[in-house]
Formats: sequence, C-alpha cells, structure tokens
Amino acid sequence: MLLQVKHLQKIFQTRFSKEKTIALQDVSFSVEDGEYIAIMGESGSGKTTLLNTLATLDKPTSGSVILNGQDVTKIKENKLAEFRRTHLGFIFQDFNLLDTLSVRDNIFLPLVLGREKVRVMEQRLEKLAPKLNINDLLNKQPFELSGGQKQRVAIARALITEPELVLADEPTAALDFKNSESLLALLEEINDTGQTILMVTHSAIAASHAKRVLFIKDGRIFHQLYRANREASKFMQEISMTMTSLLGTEVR
Amino acid sequence: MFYVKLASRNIRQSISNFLPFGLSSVVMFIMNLMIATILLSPSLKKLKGSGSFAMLLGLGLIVLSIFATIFMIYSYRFLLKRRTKEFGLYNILGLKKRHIVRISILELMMMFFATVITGTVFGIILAKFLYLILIHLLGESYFDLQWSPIAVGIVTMIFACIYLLLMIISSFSIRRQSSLELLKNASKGEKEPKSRGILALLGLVSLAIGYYLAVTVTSPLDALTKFFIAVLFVIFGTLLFYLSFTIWLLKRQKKNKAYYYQPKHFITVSSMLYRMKQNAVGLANITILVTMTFVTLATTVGLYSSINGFLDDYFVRNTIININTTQQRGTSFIDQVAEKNGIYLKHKISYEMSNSMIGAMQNGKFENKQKLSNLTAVNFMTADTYAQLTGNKVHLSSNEAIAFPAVGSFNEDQVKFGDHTFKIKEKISGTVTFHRSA
Ligand SMILES: Nc1ncnc2c1ncn2[C@@H]1O[C@H](COP(=O)(O)OP(=O)(O)OP(=O)(O)O)[C@@H](O)[C@H]1O
Ligand SMILES: [Mg+2]
Repeated sequence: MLLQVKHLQKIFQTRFSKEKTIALQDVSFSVEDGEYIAIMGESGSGKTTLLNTLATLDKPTSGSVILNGQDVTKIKENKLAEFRRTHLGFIFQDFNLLDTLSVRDNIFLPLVLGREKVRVMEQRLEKLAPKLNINDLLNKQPFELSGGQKQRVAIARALITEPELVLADEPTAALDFKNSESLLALLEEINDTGQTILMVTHSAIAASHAKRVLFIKDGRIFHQLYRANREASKFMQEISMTMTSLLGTEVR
Repeated sequence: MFYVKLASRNIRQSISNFLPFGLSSVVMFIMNLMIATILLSPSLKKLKGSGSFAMLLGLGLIVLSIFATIFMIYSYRFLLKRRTKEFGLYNILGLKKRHIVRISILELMMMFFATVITGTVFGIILAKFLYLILIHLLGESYFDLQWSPIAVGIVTMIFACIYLLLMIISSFSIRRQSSLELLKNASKGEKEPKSRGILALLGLVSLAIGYYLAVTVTSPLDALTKFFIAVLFVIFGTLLFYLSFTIWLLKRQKKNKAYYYQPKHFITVSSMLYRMKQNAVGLANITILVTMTFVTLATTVGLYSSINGFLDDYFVRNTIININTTQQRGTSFIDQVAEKNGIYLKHKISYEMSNSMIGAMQNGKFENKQKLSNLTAVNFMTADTYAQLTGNKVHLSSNEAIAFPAVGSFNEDQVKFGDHTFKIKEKISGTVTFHRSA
C-alpha cells in the first residue's frame, strides 16, 4: 500500500473571527501503487483542502497521512520541502510556470533545486519529452505556449523527479474541451506506465479517466466507484448519475 | 556557491523585475554620494562660508538618506510582491524556506554590490558636474573637486544599513507566509484597507507644522536647523497623508451611500481605495521628490537672482572715478581723457565731497583711536552737491555742514575740527540711489 489516509480532519479558523469551517470531517481511504484515483465533489466540499493536506502544504487538525510507511503530517517543517521534492509531483490548475525561465528550465527546476547532475536532468527529459509531445517547446518561453501546452510542460515538471505520487488539483479546469480530453488521455497513458496519480476534480469527464473515483461531500468520503474495464464514456455516465443522486439527496 | 548561482541567475532571468529596483537603488546612491563627495572634499574648505555650507550639505545628506530608505523599501516591496509566487513554487518544489531566504539575501547582496560599483562611478562623475555648477553659482574658481574614499565609505555604509533592513523585510515576509500563501500571493485579493483617523490627523498636523516652520524662518542663524526639521516634518507628514488621510477620505465617501452609489463615484472611489493602499508610498515619494526639487530650484534661483539684486543695490554705477581735486578740474580732466580715447560718456553724475574723515566719535570730535568697533568714516559736502544728489535745496550758513557717514554710526549734532565747530544741518544716511541730474 502506497498511501493511507486515516480519519483526517481539518478545521479552519480565521485569526480574527471565532467562526469555524469544517473542511474535512473524517476522511479515510487508501491508495495502492499504480492506481489512478479521482476525487470528486462539489465546490466547497473540501477537495483542495484534502489534496493540500496530502501534499504536506497544509497540516490537518487531526488524523494521519501515511506515505510508504511514513506519516507525512509528522514531518518537521524544515524537512518538508525536501520530502515534497523527493516523493511528490505537483500539477496545478493554473500551471504555475515561471515566466522568467525557459520551458526547459521550468521542467528542470525541481531537479535544480535538488542539485541533481545536469547529465541526469538531460537524460530524464530526453525520455519524458517525446511522451508528452513537448520536444518542440523546450526552448520557448512559457508565455509563448497555449494552455494545453503549458499543462503538458507542468506535467513534465511533475514527472521529472520520478515521484511516488503525483497530485493534481483540477488539472483540466483551465483548458477547453479538446485540450482537456488530450490531457486526460495523456494522464491515463502516464498511469499505464505505473505512475500513481491522485487527481481532484469536479468534472465527471475528467474523473471518468481514472481507475477509481472517490466522492467527497461535507468533508467525508461517502462513496466510491471502480472503473474496472469499462470505456471512459460508460464510466462517466455512472459518475454523473452518482453525482446527481448526491446533489439530489442534498437538495431533497 | 549553488545559491549564489541561483541568485545571480534569478536576477538575470527576471531583469525586468529587478531593473526598477536596481535603478532606484543606484539613483539614490548617486544622489547621496554626490552630496557626500562635495561635503568631504578638501576644496570645499577654500570656499567662503564653507562652514554653513557644509552644515547644509550634512543636513541634506541626512534627509536624503531617510528618503532613500523609504524609497528603497517601497521599491523592494514592489519587487518582492512580484517574486513571492516564484518563492512559493520553490518551496513547494523542494527548497527549504531557509534556503529561499538565503537566495533572496544573496540577490540583495548582489544588487548592493552592483549599486555600490555603478553608483560610485556615476556618483563621482556627476559630483564633479554638480560641483562645477555650484562653483559657478558661487562665482568661485576652485575647480579641483577630489573624489573622497571616505564619502564613498559613508554612503556605502548608509546603503549597507538600508539593504540590511531590506533583507530583514524579505526574510520576514518569506518566513511568515506558508508556501501556499506565497504561491497565491500574486493573485491574492487585497483586504480593504483600514482607515486610521488618528494617523490621518497626525499627517495633516505634521504637514502643517512642517510648512509653518519652513515659511516662518527669518533669522539666517537658525534657518538651517529649522528648515531641516521642517523638511523632516514634511516628509513624515506627506507619507502619513497618503497612507491614511486619502483612505480615510475615500472611506467617508463610501459611507455616504447617496454619493457612493452613482456610476461615476462608485467606480472611482472603490478602485481608488484599493489602489491608494498599494501606491500610497509611491505617490508620497513622488510628491516628496517633486517638493524637494521645487524647493531646491526656488531657493537656488532666489539666492542667485538676489545676489545680482544685492550687487545692483550696492554698485549703482558701472564706473566710479574718484579724483582728489576740485570738481571743475576733475570733470574737465575726465572729459579730456575720454575724448583722447574716443570714449563716449553716458549718464554722468559728478559731485564734490570732502575726503572721508575717519575716527572714533567723541563729543563731536574725531579721536584717532585704533578702536575698530566704533570707527566712523564721514564725508562732508557742499550745499550744491547735496541738492544735486538728493534734489532738495538747502541753505548753509557759516559753521554749518552736511554729513554723509559712509561707515559706522554718526549721531552727532555738531563736529569739531580743531577750534572750529560745525553744526550738522543735514545728513544723508544709508545708501541712496542718487538723484540723477542732467
Ligand atoms: N484558508 C482557508 N481558510 C478558511 N476556510 C477555508 C480555507 N480554505 C478553504 N476553506 C473552506 O474550506 C471548505 C473547503 O474548501 P476547498 O477549497 O477544499 O473546497 P473545494 O472542494 O476545493 O472547492 P472547489 O471545487 O470550489 O475548488 C470551504 O468551505 C472553504 O470555504
Ligand atoms: Mg478547489
């Protein structure tokens, strides 16, 4: 088992007001090596909060997140950055590429920060670039790229550290339909090579490309679906139905 | 070494972000260095009145340093705001906060050294230039301004302190925020600024005090210190004014719903409220700079033009020829010389006066005591000369005289020369623009 999330709870309390927001109430699930998991839920259901907690960017109020036997919530503040660099890959909704760096340097960034040898960086990029179809983009600047191209570059940056777990927060939200589709297909391919991916989304289409979908509502995992060997479109219908019933119970 | 490389690459890659900061840093350095170089130059001592001039420059240096500090903090925060996303990304992708802080400190150190080097070169060149202007204004002729390592040292120290402050600010702001906050910083919504009535009032009051002090300076003795304090008040007041008064005013306008909810006011007031918060310091800096330029220009022009006025007052004529003889012989002699050399005489005024009688007055007597403090020099003249000079006719009876005390005080009713006593009938006092006779 790669990742184990146990009784995660997160309560936000702003500094100046006494008002509390319970973002995560009691979340437990586990992820096997090589899985591709989508976490679905409505806006405000706590998806981003959950992902940030797994990403060690946010500390939970209680509960534990165990990655390869290590409780990441207990890692000391000054060791966190290194932990993220060596174990996790990040894909953001708004790409977060640095405009001051070329595409190639953007991809190298985590390795540069980890003081990897230049030879290793180049070898890894050589393997990655054709898979992601970014060979022609490497010498450009990020502002010259389309949204879909940017996200492919961001994926390259996430994969180049060869992380145990890739975390993605709504990676297709800033893309149009066609670009989303090809990006989702790409993530599926990457998963087929054995890369574990955990993605947060509110789109049924995006979720339908995953192997398993977890539904989150009011800070709890309340349902999960396995894709098994179904077509993405078939799987999507079931996800949509589940979402509708989820909404239905809420609206009543 | 790794971090040095990373820092220098950061500066090179995002030069467009660093350039405004670097530019303001260098300009501030140059301004400080120019003043310090002239202040510490040995040739300054040769100038007349170098003491008060040095004091003026010294105070100017203090004001400029304060201004530089404010300005640098402002432009650095501007830079930092654009870089927090980058720092956040570094942190998420695997660089410790400690190392990010180290990078930002290294960046600042590089900017510091670049500032010192370019600032010193340009500062010395421009100081020479400024010195030439100064010398020209003062009408002196010592053109040997030397660059002084001490001046460079002092300004470098001042800037080292400023940069140290910037390093503290940067490490504080990096450490305080979480990596997510850093990443989101660029897009983070600004909280609506708080209005602080007390600060607004303080700003207005200190502006008023500052300008009141500046305007009411009369005695040249305390002009320098008083003016200096006034400048500090004005800088402080202007900053506070922009930081709080404008926001306080806009908030009041917003509270007035009938006023606020009109299309024109709605857009301007709401967006001004946010912009003022970000740009208050920038606007204040611009205002202070403009005010300084204005004051400098006005005083320079004022002083320079009043020097000429002073000369015009004291030297009314182009040429003054003193001849020790009677008026008749004197004029004919001058006419003769003029004719011989083909010079045409214009606006001629000629009059006859006694030689200056010099001495210390005691009961109407010129005592020839070597007491410089109450020495008086008096000329005596005929009634004709008096009429010619002043346009007033007098009649002199015997033993009466008309006096023109050129130097010192002369309040006697009569003067004695040996056994003769003359009654002073008329007196010309002070400088008179002499009545022009035809
Ligand atoms: N920093 C924060 N401070 C206070 N409350 C927060 C903070 N971040 C999130 N919340 C609250 O926690 C709850 C869950 O937010 P979260 O961002 O995880 O939702 P989400 O599922 O990602 O929504 P979306 O699909 O819109 O991105 C919300 O009610 C939100 O208001
Ligand atoms: Mg979210």
